Amino acid sequence: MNPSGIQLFLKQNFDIQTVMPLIVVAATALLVLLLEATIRGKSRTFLTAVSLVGLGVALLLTLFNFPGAKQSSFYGMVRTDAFAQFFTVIALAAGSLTLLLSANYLPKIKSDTGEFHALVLLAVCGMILMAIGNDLIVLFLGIETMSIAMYILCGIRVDAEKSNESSLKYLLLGAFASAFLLFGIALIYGATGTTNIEALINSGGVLYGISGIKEYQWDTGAYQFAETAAQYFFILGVAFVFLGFAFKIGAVPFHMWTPDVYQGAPTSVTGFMAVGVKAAAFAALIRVFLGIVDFGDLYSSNAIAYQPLMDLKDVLLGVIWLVAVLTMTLGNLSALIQTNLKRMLAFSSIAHAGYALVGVSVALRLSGDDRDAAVGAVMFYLLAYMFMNLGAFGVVIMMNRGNDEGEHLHDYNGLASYRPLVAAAMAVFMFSLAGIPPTAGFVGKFYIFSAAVSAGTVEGYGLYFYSLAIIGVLNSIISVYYYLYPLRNMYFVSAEREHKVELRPLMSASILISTIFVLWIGVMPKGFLSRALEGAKALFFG
Amino acid sequence: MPLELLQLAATASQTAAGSGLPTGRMLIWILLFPLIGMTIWGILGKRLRRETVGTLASLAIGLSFIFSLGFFLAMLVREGHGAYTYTYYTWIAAGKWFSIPFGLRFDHLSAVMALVVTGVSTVIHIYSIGYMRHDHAYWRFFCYLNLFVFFMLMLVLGDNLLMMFVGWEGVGLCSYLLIGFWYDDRNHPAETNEQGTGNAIAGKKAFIVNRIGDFGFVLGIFFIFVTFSLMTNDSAELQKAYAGAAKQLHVTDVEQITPLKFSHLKAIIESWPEGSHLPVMVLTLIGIFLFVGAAGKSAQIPLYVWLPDAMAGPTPVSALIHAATMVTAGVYMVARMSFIYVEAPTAMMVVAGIGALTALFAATIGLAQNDIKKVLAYSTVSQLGYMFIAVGVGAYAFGIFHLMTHAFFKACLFLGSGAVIDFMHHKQDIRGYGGLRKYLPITHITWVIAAYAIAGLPFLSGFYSKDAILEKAFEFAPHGMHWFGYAVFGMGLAGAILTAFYMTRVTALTFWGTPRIPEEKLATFKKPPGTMKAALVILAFLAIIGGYINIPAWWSSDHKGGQYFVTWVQHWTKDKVAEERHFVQHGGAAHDEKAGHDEKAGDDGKAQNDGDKEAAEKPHKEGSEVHEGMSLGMLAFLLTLLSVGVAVIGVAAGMAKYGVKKTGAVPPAEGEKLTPLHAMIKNKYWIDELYEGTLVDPIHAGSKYVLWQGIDVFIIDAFVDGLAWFTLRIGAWVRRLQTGLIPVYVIFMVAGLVAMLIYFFAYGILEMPTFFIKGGGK
Amino acid sequence: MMYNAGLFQYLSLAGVLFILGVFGVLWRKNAIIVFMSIELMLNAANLVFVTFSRFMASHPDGYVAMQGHMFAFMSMVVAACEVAVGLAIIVVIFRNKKTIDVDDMNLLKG
Repeated sequence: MNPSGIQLFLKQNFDIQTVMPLIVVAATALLVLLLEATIRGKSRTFLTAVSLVGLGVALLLTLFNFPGAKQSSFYGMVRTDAFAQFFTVIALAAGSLTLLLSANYLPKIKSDTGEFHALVLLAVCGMILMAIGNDLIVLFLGIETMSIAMYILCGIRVDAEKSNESSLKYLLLGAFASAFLLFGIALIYGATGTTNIEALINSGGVLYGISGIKEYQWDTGAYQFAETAAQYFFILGVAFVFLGFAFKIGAVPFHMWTPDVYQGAPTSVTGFMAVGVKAAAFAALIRVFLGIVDFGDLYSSNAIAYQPLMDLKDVLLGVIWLVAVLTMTLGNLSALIQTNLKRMLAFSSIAHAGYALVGVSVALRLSGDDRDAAVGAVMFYLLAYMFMNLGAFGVVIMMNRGNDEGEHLHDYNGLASYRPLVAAAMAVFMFSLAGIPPTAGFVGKFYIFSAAVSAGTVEGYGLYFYSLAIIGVLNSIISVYYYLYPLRNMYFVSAEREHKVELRPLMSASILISTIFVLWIGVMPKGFLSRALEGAKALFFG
Repeated sequence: MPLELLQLAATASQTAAGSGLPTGRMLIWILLFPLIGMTIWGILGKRLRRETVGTLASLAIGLSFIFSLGFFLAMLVREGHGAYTYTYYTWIAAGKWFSIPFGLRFDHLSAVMALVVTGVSTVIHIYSIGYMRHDHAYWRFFCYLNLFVFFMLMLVLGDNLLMMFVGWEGVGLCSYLLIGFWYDDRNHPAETNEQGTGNAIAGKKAFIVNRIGDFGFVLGIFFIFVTFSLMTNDSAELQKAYAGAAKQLHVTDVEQITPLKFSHLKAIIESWPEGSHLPVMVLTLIGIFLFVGAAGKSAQIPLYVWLPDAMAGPTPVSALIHAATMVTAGVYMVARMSFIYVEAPTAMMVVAGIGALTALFAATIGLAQNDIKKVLAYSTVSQLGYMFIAVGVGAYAFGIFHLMTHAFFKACLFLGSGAVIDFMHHKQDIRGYGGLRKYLPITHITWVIAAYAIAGLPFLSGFYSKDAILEKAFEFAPHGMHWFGYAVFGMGLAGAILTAFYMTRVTALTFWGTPRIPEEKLATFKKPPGTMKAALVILAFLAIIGGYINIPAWWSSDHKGGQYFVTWVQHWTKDKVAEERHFVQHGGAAHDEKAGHDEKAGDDGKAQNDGDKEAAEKPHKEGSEVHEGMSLGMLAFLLTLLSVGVAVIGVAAGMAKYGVKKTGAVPPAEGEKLTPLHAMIKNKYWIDELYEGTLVDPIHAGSKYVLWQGIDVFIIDAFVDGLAWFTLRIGAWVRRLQTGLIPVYVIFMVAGLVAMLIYFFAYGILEMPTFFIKGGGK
Repeated sequence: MMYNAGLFQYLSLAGVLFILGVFGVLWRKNAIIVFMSIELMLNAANLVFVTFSRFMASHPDGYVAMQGHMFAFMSMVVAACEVAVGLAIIVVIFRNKKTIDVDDMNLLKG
């Protein structure tokens, strides 16, 4: 191989640029651990600063030095397209905001350790892997990297029983779901002969897996049976993989862990989980399932298959339709009666996953511009959701004074009278979560539901998509009740006693950034949306 | 001449700077300065010193003014005086046919408005530094005032109807906030509080009456979209018009044309295909709906009732918002949409008719008011009526001209009244004034200048604008009905007499004669600070020279030479009167042209063609009859003489009754018996009571007893509460699923998976036989 | 005839192991045993991977799929990490609560 050939080979398969943000974040995580060991006893603010610098560098690399569109590297293991870029930005931004929020919060809950920073950074690594992963192996590793870090983060308050319990629940249920995911991946691998999503589509719709195995003997010498078995395995694998992702995004009925874990975890971790984990899981879900339905299309065009595989899109639409409806409705109904704000936000995050699933269902069923619009809407929604939700959790953190105090709804009584700016920020976030203009949440919901409505104009799918949009809007109405409840307490109920709310600089900065973005996205959504649409368009192969 | 001088100055400054002209992108700065100011005062104002807030707030608006001026000068030196436009981003986009840009448009019309708004605002901000010096909520005042300027500029500079509407609502909000600025009546007795209405109630009234108007405005916008969007109307004519508009606007794709954008809508209407008719009925409806909005904002009959009450706000607010800028937004809007009104003569008739009625009606009320600000308020309503006469008879540029001069002299009058009120310890009754010229000499001089400007005495700005409006009204003949024009003219003339009379009355009672409170007491009163005087002098100066940028046509030989201002504004507005005059002067030729055109266009229907011809001929014939044997310049000159005459008569009558002798006549005190006519006028024709009795009270009662305590409580609330209760019950039930036990959660997950698999298998159940027999395969 | 364990047998074994794991998670109360059941499920998946990989080695199109082997190693590493973290968490809980019965973990509910 001549030198230039080697260079080309390296460029194609070991292009370090494609994983540069990942490397920066991982290196920062290790550095933080090292610093923690060497500078023990000093202020942890320094570690926060180091971590933020690392995340900032990675963010700059992602924004300005991201490899060109649709580039895959490491033998197709990662793919750095605009879609990956978008979700990498979300992961990095969520990590940064979380660290900002935690800086003044950790001492209060007596968990001010350097590991916290390192673990957040490692979780961000996992999320980036999920954003750029183009192979089920990489996605699985990403999910596990992220999840293992999150298991520990949930239980970082070693002496608090609730935190412990949250950690254990997350660990057991998460590992359980991961096992299904892994088993599903194995089955898909067996059916198709590959774990690579790009290879799956490039196969031209042939099940290369066990269907070609000659040694395999069945009584009647069933080469054809092997093909059918492969179809079975494929369907089964799809169902298992869906369970794995649905667990991470907290979709009904795989959502039961969410409120408990969210409530028990330290609040900044809760915020991080609600936005970061969810966004990364949606990234993986969209990439994998769009690949799978594309494969299903190709397959059914050149082979007669088992019916669910022939109509894979419709089958999946049925599943996701029901899951989306249940997720929205159950999330909102459960949130209605909560008196703990953190738990309420946990249920609300379930509901928001439901709204995003509406977009996913459209994307899975349709193709072309409709699909781009729906995927773009979901991406946009997740971005908007990140800012508004982290902002809301930020206010909860600000109200916190070490134990569970500041989480109950009546702790917010009369906040507007003694902390008007904090109350105003909370109002912005609540309005945004409820989807009231001119906030980001409104625009996000608007794009999702308009994607559903325009999908409803497709012949034969009106019932599915119109009903989704209508149920979504009805759910939004229900949600207004519980989002406005804290506002009522803040503005119309007088305080029995004033909580000591400290406006610490880093925490305030985080909330301020969130507020600005919520309003910015709400007033000028076009730029963000066009980036999301760019990502959606970059997603498809070929 | 001034135009050339300005051009020279602009060129000089440009070469001095050595750089190119400003780019359209910089337009946003005109809006940003007030917005930044508003934000800072809103957040930090409480902690800053009063002088700092006042000075910097004035500076923010001053910078806006300088930027506007810069753009104006740049337009002057630019090739073809082209407008500055810039689209920053797509504000709202939904689907293919609905896309609203966030764009600014600094063209000939909005340049004038932006200069007037920022210029007058700067002066009034400076004045407010002095006037509000004792107020504890100083920072809040400047915060609102800066916010107002921001919204007003958005209204003026926005390049589409929706941005205009945002500005429209925004200035309404600021108006509400500032009328009720002294919402706590205990600390701040209302400046105008005759019926014991609180300041907050006055604000509420303004807000609610404006909502009625806004409803019309919104309907107008909806109608425009429905009529002129290809989304809702894909008729062949509209498609042709779009194609023509695309050519005119130099855009490649008709999808880029959005009918809510002024320039695009204008292009669509102007490129309406020949041979087909514009939907005149719809245009008339649009025109009337838009005018309902304008009538609300600009206080025209029947929605004028809020403006006099709005005087409850601080006087600088009355000067800026309720005299010079916000209330003229309706006039601006009609001028902006002039391309619709010229196609809808009936809508024009409505505008001109209401304007004339208001001009006369409000002037009569002004005769008998004893509160100095109330007189000025009714005078404002009346002058707004004149502006609507102008835009109604199609003389849009003249309407804008009067808008500008009125901004100068009425702001000057209000600020003068503010100085008087400040001096007199917040007493507003002119029966308690008298002889103040000795104590407030500068206020007196500026007041007299402005009062005579509004009265229409020659060589002051008001004369040039009002005279021109009346002249145009005289020539107005919608549908060939000349009597309408004459009636409007007559009412305008009568209003002018009354204006001259009541302005003389209030001047005499305030400044002349002998003081009606002891002189030794007056001597102890504090004189206004320098900032207030400076503002008065600037505005009085403008009230003198403001008229000279557009001298009457008959002063120059070619009937056009002196009309710099009108020519400038007519870059945008379609001046119907100008065309008609042209038509009258060269009647025959124009007629032939028109007829030929009709024949060319009307191949499709003979009967229709005939009708057109008749309609086209009619005005020409009557026009010829009326003006036969008299040159146009001669007619204009006579009309001018007439209006000067009535102004002089009005002033003389006022002098005779109130100005002669040392004391003059003083209006009867409260409780004295009045003649029925006097009582009627003084009580404003009992219109407020009429509205109260016929509309407000019944609606209030109906709302309270039927809608609220009946329908709302018993039906809607019961239903909603029941629904909420039901939903909460479901929530409580769902909650019980959340047991907190890991095995239960696992069961749910497994159950979900099993359900999914069952669904898959059930879906494939029909396929089962083939599965055993042959399977798939390639 | 010599009997060779074929694809079917391996997959059946994996399936049985997986289902055993699921039932273990459902029925056992001790957190450590629940955790072991999950490991069982992961190992079942690994077995599936290796089986497929091994049997695909002689694909008619000459398609060689070694990812399965790699995947098995990766998931073993992941499982090891999970065990490390999981045991640590369980130890902490035992220190605080003196029990690791999953039915006692219901502070958070509703």
